[in-house]
Amino acid sequence: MGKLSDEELIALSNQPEHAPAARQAALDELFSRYRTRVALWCFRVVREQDWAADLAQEVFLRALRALPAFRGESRFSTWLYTIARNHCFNAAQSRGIRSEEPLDFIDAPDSAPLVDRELEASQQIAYMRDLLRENLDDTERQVMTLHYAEDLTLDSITRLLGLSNASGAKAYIVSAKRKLKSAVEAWKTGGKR
Amino acid sequence: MTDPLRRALRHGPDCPSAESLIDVIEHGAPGDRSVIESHLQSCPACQAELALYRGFQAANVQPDEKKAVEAILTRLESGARAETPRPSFWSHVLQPARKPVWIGGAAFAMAAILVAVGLTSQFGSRRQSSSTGEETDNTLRSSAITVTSPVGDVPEAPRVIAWRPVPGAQQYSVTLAEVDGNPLFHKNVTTSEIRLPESTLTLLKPGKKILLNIEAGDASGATLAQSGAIGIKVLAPR
Repeated sequence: MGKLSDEELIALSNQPEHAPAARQAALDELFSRYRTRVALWCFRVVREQDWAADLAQEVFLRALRALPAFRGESRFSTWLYTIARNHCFNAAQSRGIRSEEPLDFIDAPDSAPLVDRELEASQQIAYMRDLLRENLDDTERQVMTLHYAEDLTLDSITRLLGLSNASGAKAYIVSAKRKLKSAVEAWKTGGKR
Repeated sequence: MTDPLRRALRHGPDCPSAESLIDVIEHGAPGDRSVIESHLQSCPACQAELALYRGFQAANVQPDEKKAVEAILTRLESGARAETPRPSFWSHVLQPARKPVWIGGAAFAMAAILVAVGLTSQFGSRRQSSSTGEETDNTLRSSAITVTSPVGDVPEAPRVIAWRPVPGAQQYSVTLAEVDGNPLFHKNVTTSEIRLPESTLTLLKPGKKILLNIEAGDASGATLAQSGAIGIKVLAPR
């Protein structure tokens, strides 16, 4: 059983011609491979042991319910990850966890000539993505995304990305803001773009 | 500026699904790798998605996380939790979580089998042909509700969902969800068809499987019939 791939275990568990014990063993093997991953993921997102245990259980129950619909169009690990990700992020957001760092470090459009107000939203987004790509490193972009787009706490981001520096995600937010502000100032003075 | 910045940090309509992104980049799955790689260069949300997945897969438990993770695993393995019976899988998806009860691990394992077997049977029995010839292989039929459109894989996102009326039904609850149960659309209607809003159509991305469920209710709100989870996929353009 241990040599079978995830997808082979799912196929085994879904075949009615197999004995219930064999199907159960396949499911046990499959989920045993991911228990630590899901438990750690849930804990890192919400940072509360009891809540994380509830979430981990719910993730597995969701997966069990949806497993018969799994057609192998993606890897099982990918599929389970998306379940865990969506479930935990939704749970965290439902409790009102919001980004701690304000995002008002760049002038608003009214006072900044940086963005032409007539530009379409998609152009503005493309411009901002250029700004992010040209001025921030990979980790800074990831931290900014998880904090401001996914509303994860800095502590969670530090854990989820495995940041080992002393101040974790906070340091990347600070450096990202400084770089972006500097890039905007440079643009205003005609130094760039 | 902050709003465009936030939007630039979020996933957009041009982003591949998380499954496609991860499977193509991380697992070498078939797909347009060059397009996804090019997109990845400029999309911070997809970059973050990959980083999160890598962290999930690595699962390097840090010393200060060990105790909590072990406690969570203990709960998972020795006191697995089951939920109180629900009227249906889909009503569970759409309703707030109820307070759970805890049962033993063996019972959890058995519940797992029952869920798996039950749903397999449900899916397995979905395609039926009628001896009357009224239904064809292009009609998906559940125990009571027959969805007439869309059926199976479709070339473009279906603008209308239609089904055969259920006698006595006063309203129908229509749900579209991702395969992990994440709801995309839900509406109650009194007719036997519904037109999907543009905002929902944009979520039905080519190649991504979506599950449709329709439940018919009587005047008291009791469920008369349901379609079961029906898979719909918008075919990727050739």
